[in-house]
Amino acid sequence: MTVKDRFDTSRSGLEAMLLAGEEEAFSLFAAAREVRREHFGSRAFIRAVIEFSNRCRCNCLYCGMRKDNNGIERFTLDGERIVDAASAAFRAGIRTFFLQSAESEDYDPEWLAGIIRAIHGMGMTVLLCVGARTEDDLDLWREAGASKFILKHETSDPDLFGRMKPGLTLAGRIEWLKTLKRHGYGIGSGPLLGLPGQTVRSLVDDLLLLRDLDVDMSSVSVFLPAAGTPLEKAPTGSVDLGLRFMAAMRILLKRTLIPATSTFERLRSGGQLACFDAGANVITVNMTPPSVRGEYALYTERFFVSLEHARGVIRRAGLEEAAEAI
Amino acid sequence: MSPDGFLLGVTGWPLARTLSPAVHLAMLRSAGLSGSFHILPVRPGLLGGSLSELFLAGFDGISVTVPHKTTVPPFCRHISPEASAAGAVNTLVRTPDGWTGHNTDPGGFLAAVDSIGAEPPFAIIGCGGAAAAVALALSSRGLEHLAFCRDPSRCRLAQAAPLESACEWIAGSSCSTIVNATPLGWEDGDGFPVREEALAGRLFLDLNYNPGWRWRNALAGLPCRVVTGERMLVEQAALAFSLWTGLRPDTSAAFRAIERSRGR
Repeated sequence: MTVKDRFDTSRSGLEAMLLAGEEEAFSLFAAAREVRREHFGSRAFIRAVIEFSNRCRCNCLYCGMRKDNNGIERFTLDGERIVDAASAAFRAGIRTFFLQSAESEDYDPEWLAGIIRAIHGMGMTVLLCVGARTEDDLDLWREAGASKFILKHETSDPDLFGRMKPGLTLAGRIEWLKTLKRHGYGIGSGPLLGLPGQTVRSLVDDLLLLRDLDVDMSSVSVFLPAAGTPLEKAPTGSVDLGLRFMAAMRILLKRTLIPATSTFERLRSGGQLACFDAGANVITVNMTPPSVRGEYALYTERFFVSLEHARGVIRRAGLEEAAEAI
Repeated sequence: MSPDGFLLGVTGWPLARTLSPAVHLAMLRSAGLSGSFHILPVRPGLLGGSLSELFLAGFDGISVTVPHKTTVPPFCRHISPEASAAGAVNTLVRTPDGWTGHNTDPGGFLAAVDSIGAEPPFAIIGCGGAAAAVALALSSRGLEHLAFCRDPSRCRLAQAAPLESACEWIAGSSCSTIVNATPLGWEDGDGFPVREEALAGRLFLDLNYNPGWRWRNALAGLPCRVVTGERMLVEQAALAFSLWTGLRPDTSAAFRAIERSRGR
């Protein structure tokens, strides 16, 4: 019996993983690494992200880019700048480019399709995280070369979801994730851990939802309060619980891409290495121009991942950089 | 409400024959309100995303019609007691944190019953969402009724009998009103599972408002009274309008608008 066989993935087993004490967590992380090794060997992946627009029509209580926050400057980058950043990432050996924006209505779907075409044409896998509006847009961007789409579900508790995201529903979110799949995208989702009112039980539901959606990519971010939001004084989420969630994702979902998200590094020095030790296998380099980075206010005082930092984390985790399969 | 007034619409699929824009625009105008009313066809399976879009776009209210009435509840932030009892939503009202789902079909049906003087007992033909709303409305007033459908064992209504027994029950009881709560009649050539003779001396209350339904139009030659679906449409729309605007609308303006939209 190997260490991974000690963990069962029933509801109660998953809850036990999330509530593991320090000693038990040591074995939990070892099990997660063992599952990762079975499915990915020693390969780890670097992505580059550009956050190209912070204009948002949503009013999520936890997000600094919410429509009602007047404390940030709004921007949408021009296409040339985005393609230049992708080109720089390509030259640095990165083969997955991640186009991320708030739920912006500041650009034309055709404009984004042109950018996707240019980046895909370089030989890069294009990953989108831009919210979703119409099926026609999905087809347009898929045909332009985007093959993966991330739409975080944030929480599987329908009531908490409704409170955190006015006007949106969990059922609608799940429907969109299924729609993305139907349109040929590899999908990614995951929760925001530490939302006020979230419970361990609902985190177990998050895990089971990710399994039921059969996601290709799964992630967890730790909640950090953002200035100018209704939750600006709320306490931050727990890094330790986040790491246990990450390990549970790896053990339950097995062959998914799991990023070591920057919130872990922001909250704890060495946090992203700890993510790799808990089963993560992706790290994302931030290519957003420094002049506008501060306005992409997912949370306050963000940690920005450089290429050197990303490569250092992979090396220290004992893994080797590889290209994501297209 | 936006500076351009109330932003309203109707969603369903395929919505080819909807009279809702005519009805609601007439109500807005007669109440002295500004606003617009949009036809928003949404294919089944895409409702949740579309409702989020409409909320983010600033819509104040949405009418929901077939086939979405029973699938819309999970996409609502709040559900009214009437909608919860009916298990269906036909009206969405904007609240700061999301849509609240209401159901004005039972109330609209009762308003129609009162305005035309329909009397019990009622025979309800059908077992879908419309039949459920009618049964719920009649139960709330304690009015005697029985529903008839093809397979009562699979019907969600508490009191349902096989369709074949409808004529016998109507003839043998003192049944006063027969309600068409089926989709029959949307096609001009549709038949109906109750014999015309059984309707003699009774009220045929049709929830369908296709003016071209030949079977129903042929009832004009029989000694029975016929009320078509425009009555129920306008009454439930009036209740929805009140939820959106807080005002009681002028229903006669809505009836005139329907006539005009049909070029009469």
